[in-house]
Amino acid sequence: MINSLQSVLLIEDSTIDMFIHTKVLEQSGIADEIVCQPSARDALEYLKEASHHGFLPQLIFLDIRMPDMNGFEFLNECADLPNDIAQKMKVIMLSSSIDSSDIHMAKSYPQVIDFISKPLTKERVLEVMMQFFSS
Amino acid sequence: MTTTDTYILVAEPNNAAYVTLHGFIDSISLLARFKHFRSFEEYKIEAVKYESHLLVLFESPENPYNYDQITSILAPTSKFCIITQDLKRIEDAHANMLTLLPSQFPDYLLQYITRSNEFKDEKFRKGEKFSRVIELQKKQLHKIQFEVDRFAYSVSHDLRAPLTSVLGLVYLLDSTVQDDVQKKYINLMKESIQRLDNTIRDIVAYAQNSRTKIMLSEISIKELTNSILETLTYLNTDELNIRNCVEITDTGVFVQDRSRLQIVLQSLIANAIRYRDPARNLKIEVSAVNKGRKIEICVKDNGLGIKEEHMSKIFEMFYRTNDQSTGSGLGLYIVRETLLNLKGKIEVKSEVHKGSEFKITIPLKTIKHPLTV
Repeated sequence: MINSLQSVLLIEDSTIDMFIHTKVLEQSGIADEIVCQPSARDALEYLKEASHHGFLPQLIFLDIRMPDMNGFEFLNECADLPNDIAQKMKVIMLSSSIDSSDIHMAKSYPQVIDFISKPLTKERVLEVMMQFFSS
Repeated sequence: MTTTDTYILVAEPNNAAYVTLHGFIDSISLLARFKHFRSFEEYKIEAVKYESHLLVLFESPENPYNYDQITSILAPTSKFCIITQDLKRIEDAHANMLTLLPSQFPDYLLQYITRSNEFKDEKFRKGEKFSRVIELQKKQLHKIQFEVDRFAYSVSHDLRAPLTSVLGLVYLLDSTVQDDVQKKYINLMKESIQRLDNTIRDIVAYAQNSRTKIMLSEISIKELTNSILETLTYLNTDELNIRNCVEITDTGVFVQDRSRLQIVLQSLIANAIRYRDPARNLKIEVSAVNKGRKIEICVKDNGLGIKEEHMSKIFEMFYRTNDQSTGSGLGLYIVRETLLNLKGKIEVKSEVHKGSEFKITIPLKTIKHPLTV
């Protein structure tokens, strides 16, 4: 039985991909709320704000290749966030990269629970939910 | 002469060969030792003193020496040096070998070579000029190669990103559409996109293989295969979940070039998936046997197998066994090129409707400081 999440955060710079991921997440019905941030910096701001109000998205989908700050750099920056957000967050990294060293690197971060190759699909989302969020 | 380094210059057909020795071996005993390990009727050996070195001239009209044999009669710290115009030799040079083009060889010795015995003066002089031209061309070729590879690498990544977007949209479209005709068009779109994606992936692999330096790290076959299966999830279908089809035998860690090994394994596994037999459940066995100095990795499947008539051509560039297949035709070509880079080799056994087994053998490395000459 998959537990439905309260809120997930999607960090993605491509508007088309953001559209696709949002639709797929909606169709999967895994969360009540889907929040989108178009850049790593915006996401950091959002997380800081959110933690002030005492809450944190239960799951974060994070794109790797983004201009300015990429997914890995974002994870490094999260270490400076208040309230131990870095320890509590659960992240799934997304990428169109087929470079296995990206996958290797992703899995080296303790917050990263999985890596998904784009395009995000309902099947893959449900697979991950079964693995990490079911009772 | 009390250092322990020994340099041996080895004969190439029509090139000169010299041995320079430091150490306790004197000329007479060395000549005696060399005479033992080859039949020397066809070789001419002479010795000359050059500064504090002793040079032994070997001249071989026939095939070049087996370098392993030579190193086997020398001290462990011995190195040898070839003067050659054969650029392939230079590329193939291993850690114990220093290669010199004739133009780099000390003048004194060059004079000695051209003065001595059967050596054709003119031929050698021409050879020297020739080798300078070759060096220049080699530099230019490397530059072009580098640029093409960088181009291929960044283009493939930049092409792949919007392609995954298109694929995502096609999947979404598929889920909103009921009409049979529309569904049919959508499936054809998926197939074409898949074909394109396969080719892009292969170009990325090809570029990675030719443009990057060998980088060694510790690898576990189990971990590597699991990463590969992640990048291949796009090959899943309604009836097929590839993770459930693959059985991995783990042998612990060994040292090699991870990205190149990934290219090889990924190609073999993707082929096993692509050419599965629809009549039965796909089963792929990935196993590795560590034999100390080398590792044998097997990818065995129970798929369609390869027909006898294709066997000699499967490693050719762009060769595909059937037009309907979504492969790019580059997979096995790239496997072979990559293995060349790793100094490994591949054997294939296959039976139609039974399956195929690909066995690759790669020398193992240890991470240590490279020998400097």
